[in-house]
Amino acid sequence: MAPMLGVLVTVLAIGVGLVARWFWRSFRPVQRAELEAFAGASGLAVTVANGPRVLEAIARTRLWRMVGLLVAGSASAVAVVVRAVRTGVLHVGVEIVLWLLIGYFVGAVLGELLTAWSAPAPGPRSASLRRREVGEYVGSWAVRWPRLLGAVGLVAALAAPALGDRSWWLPAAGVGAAVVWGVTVLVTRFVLERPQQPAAEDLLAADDAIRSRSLHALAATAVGIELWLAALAVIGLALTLLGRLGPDAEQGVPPLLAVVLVLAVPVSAVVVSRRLARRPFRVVREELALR
Amino acid sequence: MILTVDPAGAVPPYEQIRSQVEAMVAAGTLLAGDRLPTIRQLAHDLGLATGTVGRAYAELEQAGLVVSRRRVGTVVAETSPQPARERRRRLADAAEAYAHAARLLGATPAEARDALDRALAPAPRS
Repeated sequence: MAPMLGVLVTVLAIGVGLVARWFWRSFRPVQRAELEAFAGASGLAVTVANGPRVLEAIARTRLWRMVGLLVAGSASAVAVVVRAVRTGVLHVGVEIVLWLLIGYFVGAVLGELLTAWSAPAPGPRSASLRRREVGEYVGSWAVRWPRLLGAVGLVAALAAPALGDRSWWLPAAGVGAAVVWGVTVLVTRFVLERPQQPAAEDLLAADDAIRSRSLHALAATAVGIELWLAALAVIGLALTLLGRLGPDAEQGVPPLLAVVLVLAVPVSAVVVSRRLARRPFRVVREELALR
Repeated sequence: MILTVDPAGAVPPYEQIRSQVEAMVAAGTLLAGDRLPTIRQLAHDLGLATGTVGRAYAELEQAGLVVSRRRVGTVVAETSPQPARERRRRLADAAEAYAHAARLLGATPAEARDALDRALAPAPRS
């Protein structure tokens, strides 16, 4: 029991350390490096006028994303400890990373939904008759990848029972991928339809950059989660097709597939998600600028 | 393609939107196939209720100026005979007003035509 207690304490210490770090990062003032990274990724020239708006956006989105991460991390840590105390077996699975991704995604969604809109000023108001399209703010991957992965997950979820699969996780993973896709579509529309009025060029550029980076973070995290879930569903379906899924499925999983499941899928999901989220993108749209 | 609406004005906001879009189509600023913003986008940008913008779009659709398509949204209609007629009428009105102003100034028809030609000449690029 003593060695297990030692491992448990170590895991707890690491968990508490991570939570404390995320907590500290959520509430500290926006650092110069963060502002430079934001400006660099969106090709934005930060000015005296648009700087406060950008800082506010970075602080708000970071706070909510970190809160999502914190909640998911804390819940996962508690679940690990409770299970260890009940069963006497300490199991820290890679699925914790999936829950962290989901927590981050939920936080990012809340950060966008809870953005305060300033009330319109009295008097005449102006707006462009140009429709804001996703492609103006983020590459086409942000539409295609979540749609493709969501569809793959959904097909796998629907096909599994038809092929005699009795597990709960395979349909759940497939449907989960489709749900994340649906949420991404709705939140993307919400971000695009947020008010934008004609303004000075630098303010407009900041507004465009804020939308663009939000859409990058949302779509990239959605792709990471969907990639993981869709891969699980497809691998499960493949196993079903091979007639290996049953009461002794774990013994029947080939070693290479086990490695793919345990390592390659989570690592790919996280790496792809991070790379897509940080992909540089400059919004080119100047018709609303008041010169 | 900037639209301006005064919610406190005498003309209802939906009518201000409708008339401005109609004028843009008539003037060729909005071309056939151009996509208009979603109702929610325009409503949020103008700080109006979605019903107000929806009513303006519905009236434009009834007039045959725009069409709403699933998955595409609201686009300027391919054929719009009514705007062409409207455009000719507006042009005639403007010409009448110009002729009246020229007569008041005592300009000869040749002078008026010359001034008009100069005004219509494309502006040199800066």
